Amino acid sequence: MSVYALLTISWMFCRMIGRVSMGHSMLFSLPAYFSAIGYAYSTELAVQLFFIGILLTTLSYFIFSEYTGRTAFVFLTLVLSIFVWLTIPKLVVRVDSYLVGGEVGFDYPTLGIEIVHSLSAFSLILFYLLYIGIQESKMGFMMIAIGDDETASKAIGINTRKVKLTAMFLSSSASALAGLIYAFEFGHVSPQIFSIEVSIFPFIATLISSGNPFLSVISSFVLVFLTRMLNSAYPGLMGLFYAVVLVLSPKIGRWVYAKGKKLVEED
Amino acid sequence: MALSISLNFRISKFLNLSLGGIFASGAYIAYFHQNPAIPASLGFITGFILAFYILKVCKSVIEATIVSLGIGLLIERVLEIVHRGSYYYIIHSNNSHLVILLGALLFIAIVFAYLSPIGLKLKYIESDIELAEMYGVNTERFVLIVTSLTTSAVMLSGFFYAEKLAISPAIGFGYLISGIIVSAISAQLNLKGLTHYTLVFILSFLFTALTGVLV
Repeated sequence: MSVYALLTISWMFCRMIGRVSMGHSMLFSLPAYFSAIGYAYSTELAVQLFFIGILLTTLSYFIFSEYTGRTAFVFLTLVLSIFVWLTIPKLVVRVDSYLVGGEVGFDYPTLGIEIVHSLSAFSLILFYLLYIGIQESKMGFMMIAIGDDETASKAIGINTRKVKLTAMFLSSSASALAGLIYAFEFGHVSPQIFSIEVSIFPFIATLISSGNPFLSVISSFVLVFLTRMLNSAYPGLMGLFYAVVLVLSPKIGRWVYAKGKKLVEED
Repeated sequence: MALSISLNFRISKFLNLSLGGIFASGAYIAYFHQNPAIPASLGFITGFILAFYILKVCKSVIEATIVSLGIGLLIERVLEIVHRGSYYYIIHSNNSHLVILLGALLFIAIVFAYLSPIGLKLKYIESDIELAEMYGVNTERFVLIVTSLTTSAVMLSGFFYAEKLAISPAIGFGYLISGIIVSAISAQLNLKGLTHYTLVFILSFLFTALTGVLV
């Protein structure tokens, strides 16, 4: 469960600089998938490809944020994540005259369930505290300023490239760590980790919590719990729930915002 | 698909991501019914409801796009739940060539629309929808008509092309992404009106001839 909460925290780093990523499965899955491909050959290659994955996702998201506007960023990340989700099952590699990958995916080493849970809980707390800390720091204020108005931020002397690169690196690192823990938990990485559900998960978790970091973590836990409950009641039911939330998202967003504003004013 | 995506983006002002699910539902209809009037009318009604909902509820391009993604996923999930992810095949049918005719008809309709007095209004909406509204163009009516017609066309194309496919709930996504890629490439040239749609039409055929469906 903590893995998905970590994914939500990672998404919020992106949103801090005003970029809404609708294709966050890329940051979550790509380093883990690369690492799993590397693991088919050697452990060293798995480690190297994991870090190459982080670098690649950081740089690509940074470039998107530099050369596209906010609206185009949403489209680009979403379309790219669907594109990767559809094409990754076609990726097959040859290992000792055997073909591996494809729709089955790649094997990965497993860690004990206690270790995985401790690792994910520790990572979540670490990145949550980092997020809270950054929010209150000079870097956080610069990120929020860029999120509000990038041109004005440049005008007052903020190095927007540096700040955006930092935000993207933090977001990529948190997502990649979540993806790695996910791979360790299941001992296998399949193309399904690139699915739309993973991409839109942090958006939905943040939407129903009005963007509050603590509530977003709680809503992530609730969503994962709900996923297990609904899918065990009837397979595919959670996908239906996500779709309904997306359709109602403008109304939900405004309602949650209005309620939150009212609560703040009452305080 | 690419023409529909372009029309939706330029006139209705959102990236219609529901078209993947719409295409898939057209293919499912083909398996159970042979009458093309069903997907044509159902597509029109679905598009009308989508456009109406977006006009009433959404305040930005992003909101409208996310809503359309939700509709697309909703259709896909309903198909998955109802048909439990089974694959269907249509045999003894030879309608797939009608997709080309449908694409050509849509293109001809665009040509006529842009050459008629409506064309000027369409160009106004394409360049600035708020300005067009100020000049007295009933933009909501155009958004409703364009979204309904393109949704209907995409559902019909799914209906006609179904025999070439192993019908499953997610079949539309590949065509959707291919359509978006073609539209995005065409948009890079910053062409306006009819020239843009001509380029989209040519590129669609070129890409299909070269690579089939892109993904």
